[in-house]
Amino acid sequence: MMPVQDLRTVLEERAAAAPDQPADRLSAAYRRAASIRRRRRAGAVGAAAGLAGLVLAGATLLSPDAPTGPGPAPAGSGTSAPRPATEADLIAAIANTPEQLHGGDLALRVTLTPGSASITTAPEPDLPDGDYFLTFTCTGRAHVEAWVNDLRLLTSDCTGGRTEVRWPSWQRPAVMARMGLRGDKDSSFALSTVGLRGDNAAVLGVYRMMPPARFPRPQRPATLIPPRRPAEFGEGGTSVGPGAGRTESAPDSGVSERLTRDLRVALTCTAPGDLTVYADGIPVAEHACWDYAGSTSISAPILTSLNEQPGPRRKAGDRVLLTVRATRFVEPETWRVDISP
Amino acid sequence: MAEVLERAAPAGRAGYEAYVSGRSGGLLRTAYLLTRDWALAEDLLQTALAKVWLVWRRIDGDPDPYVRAVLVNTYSSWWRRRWNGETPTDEPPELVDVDPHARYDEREAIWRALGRLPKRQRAVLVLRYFDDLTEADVARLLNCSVGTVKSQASRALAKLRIDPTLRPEGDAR
Repeated sequence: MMPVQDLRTVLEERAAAAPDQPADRLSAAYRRAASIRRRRRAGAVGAAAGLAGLVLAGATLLSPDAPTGPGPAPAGSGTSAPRPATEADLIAAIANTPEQLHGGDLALRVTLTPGSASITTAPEPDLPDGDYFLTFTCTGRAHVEAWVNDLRLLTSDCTGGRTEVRWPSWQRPAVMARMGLRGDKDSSFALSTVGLRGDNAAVLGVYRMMPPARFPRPQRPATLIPPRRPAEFGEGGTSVGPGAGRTESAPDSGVSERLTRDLRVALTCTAPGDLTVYADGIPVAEHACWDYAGSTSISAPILTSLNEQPGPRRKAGDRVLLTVRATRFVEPETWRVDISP
Repeated sequence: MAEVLERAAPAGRAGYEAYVSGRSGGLLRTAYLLTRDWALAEDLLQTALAKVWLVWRRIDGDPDPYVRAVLVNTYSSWWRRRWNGETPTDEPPELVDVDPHARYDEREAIWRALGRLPKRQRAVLVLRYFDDLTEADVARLLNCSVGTVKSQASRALAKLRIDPTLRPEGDAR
């Protein structure tokens, strides 16, 4: 039985570790308030003026048998045009796209409403070349496809939540080139929705990866969470953790595994650090932690990742040597890699 | 009357800035207990403060309840992160069978179990047992009845008590 006093103690202990108040909290609040005002005006005026053209132009697409793709898609009965998202929707969606997130700095935030089939931004002088990841936040329920510069980024049933879209290192150069997010040219962002109620809002966040040392290091809790085997992997299988003799620059001696079509690895960390798993020296899974909350990534099938990259084609039954490289960790015993049974 | 005047929100930008300067530290702690992540807590607080600034001149009386309500309601409207390929999860995976050799900290377990509560229930516990608000205050803040607050708190505590990671007393492991 857990007494309420224990609960009070835990809450007070946790809250006591609050970081020093940053000096820019006030200016950040003013900045956000100005942004809310702008979006409020955009909701009230822009939706009726600037975006009305797009809605009207796409009116034929609102019929029940309209094709899907970038642009407004059938809405419910197909008889009424979607109305702009409410201010509350927009605020919620924007709030879920913070200025800094998981090693990235917000470079661009694009708000999309059902009335806006697509938005083309002006050139963004502050959008330099680099490694990006994207987040997608929506309110309401809909099937959503998001596109950037004609590259389809995701197809998702939007039931709420922030979806992060990242690419592993072996796919990133091609995706970045294909996405064409550059400071010297326009970019287009398109949203396609099906089953939309009409009061939905969606926000695409474009984050540029910062040098890890520059990303604010979170407050270290008094007690660190031990990393654990993911429940999805059940019992059995092999696990690798920080062991004797392994250093940041020297991966472990490796675990030999026989490839199956569904052989995967789960990378778990509970303190800031980066994990990479290699199969015969080829990277097949990556995961980064930026705080102490603890998180896990379950990789795509290793066989698939291997065959996406240059090298001999692998097939089920082949043996591979899996090795782990852990970097940026300063806390002991805060990561592990589990191999599916 | 004197009490009302003392608790009234100081008008204008200077009043707002004084309020942020004096109270945002405490609000950040509440935000952290709701979000369990300092970065998200800061983000939540800044969002709430921005919303409050837009209506600051219209706040009549003590701004605290209003600011807290904005904070909690903004938090409630945030959505859970979802899995997407290699997207990090909110929580580390659950342990099916606790390693008998592991040093398991019960307070850590309570903290983690708190994170598994629905947002509304977690908010009720934080407001009741950290901010020490009365049930009536929590009900006003969450725009629900006192009965709802009682039942939410009761369910939340019950969930914590039966959480599998919290060892019952007398369990001599």
